[in-house]
Amino acid sequence: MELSAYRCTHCAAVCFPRRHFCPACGGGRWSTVDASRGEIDEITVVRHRAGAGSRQPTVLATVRTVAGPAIVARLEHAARRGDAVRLALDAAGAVVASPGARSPRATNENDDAGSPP
Amino acid sequence: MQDLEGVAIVAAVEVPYTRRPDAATTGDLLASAFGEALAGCGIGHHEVDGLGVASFTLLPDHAVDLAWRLGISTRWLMDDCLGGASGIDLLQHAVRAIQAGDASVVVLLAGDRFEPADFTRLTEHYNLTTQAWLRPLDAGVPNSLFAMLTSRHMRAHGLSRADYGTLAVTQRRWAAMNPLAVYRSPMTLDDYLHAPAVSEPLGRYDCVPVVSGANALVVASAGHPAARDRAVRLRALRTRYNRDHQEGDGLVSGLADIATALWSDAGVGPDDVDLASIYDDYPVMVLVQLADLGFASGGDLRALVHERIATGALPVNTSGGQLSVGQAGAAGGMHGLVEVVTQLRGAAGARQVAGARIGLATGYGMVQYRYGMCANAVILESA
Repeated sequence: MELSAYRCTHCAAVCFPRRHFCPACGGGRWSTVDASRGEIDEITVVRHRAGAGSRQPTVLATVRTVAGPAIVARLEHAARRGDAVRLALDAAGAVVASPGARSPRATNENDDAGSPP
Repeated sequence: MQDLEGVAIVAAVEVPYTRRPDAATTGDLLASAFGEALAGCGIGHHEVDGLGVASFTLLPDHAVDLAWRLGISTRWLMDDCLGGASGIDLLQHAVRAIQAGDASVVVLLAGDRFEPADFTRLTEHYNLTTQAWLRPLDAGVPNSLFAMLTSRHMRAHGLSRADYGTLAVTQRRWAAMNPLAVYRSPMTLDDYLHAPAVSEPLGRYDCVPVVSGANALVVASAGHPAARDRAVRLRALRTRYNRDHQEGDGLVSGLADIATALWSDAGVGPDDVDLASIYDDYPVMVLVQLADLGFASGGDLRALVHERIATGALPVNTSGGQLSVGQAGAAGGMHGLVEVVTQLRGAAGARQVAGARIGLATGYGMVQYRYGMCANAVILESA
């Protein structure tokens, strides 16, 4: 399922998760904005969980979305900081990151202008 | 400048924390803290006219239910929900209640009793955001969140695991002198570095052990007879909650916003502090908070760790902190405050900081999505 962030219809600030009122301007109306693309800021391999016994490690990532907000996702492929990923919701409601095309932000950093945003 | 006159802390206690709960209920732990606190300051049961409580596991009971169980009738009641910032939050409101005449003797309690399942339930259902967005990831929050925060902090400040480990090892040295610390056996930097990984880069000794226990403070008007003996006064207390709407990187806490006013209110600076209890859910947060309060001159965190904290020049978390004493849920938000009061009263035994007169305690916590939202600090002085 698609992952959305929320854009304030008054000041265009983008939030995730959704709020009642906009922290930037106090506005209370939102439109959805696609939050499915981003790049990895941070990764952690979770090896131990309280009360969970020994299980396969889970990998979590903080993903800086092109939409703006940082979103915490489960990473199911080998990846590194700076890699582009695509975010989606799985059946259990978890945000899952899969390999993505290079994001516009990464492209800009390489001075490779011309890609569509 | 805030008015914090006319109020004194006259008792501070800790019901010994235990790895496995030996009390039957959270209420039992809080009641033990209540009884011990009153016995410690010679205040009678029926003199108590204010009660404040912080607990995650007292539910379905609240402060008024506890008042009934404790056999007290009060004019002032408060349920606190600020976790690691609860002790200072309760204290702030208790001071105002006494100044305003709404109460004259207030007992503040914080504690939790955890079976392993209780702790899992708490972390998975911490708030609606956690339920909706973190729990489905099935990835050990909050350790994994602070693991990523620690990675960011390491990069931002050029620190290594050994720098954070030095904090943990130093606190364990303090814990060895605290008979109430759950973990007192000596720990070397090698032990820290080679401990099992929890959530990289965090290892076992970066994460607070979950324990059961409770703390209590008694706050009274400064004219109360109990305030004649080694009472502790407040010089400054400031709070900041939800500073950046979780839209930053977590490497700055609300303490950065209150630091100037805090020191100005207190009339002292970081160099005047004889000891500090810095909320230590993770070593990284000790460094974040100390930097926010101006303890790292020139922003040099490595020098702060190795030249000031590890050497004891700046005594930080002299109880051993939650990293060695354990985290008894909401009691963690009062533990550091109790330690500072104990030190300022000269009652800290083998770990007593000689001549301690000015102490700092901080609170931090309540993770919304990626890091804690709450920060507060108090500067205390021996009367």
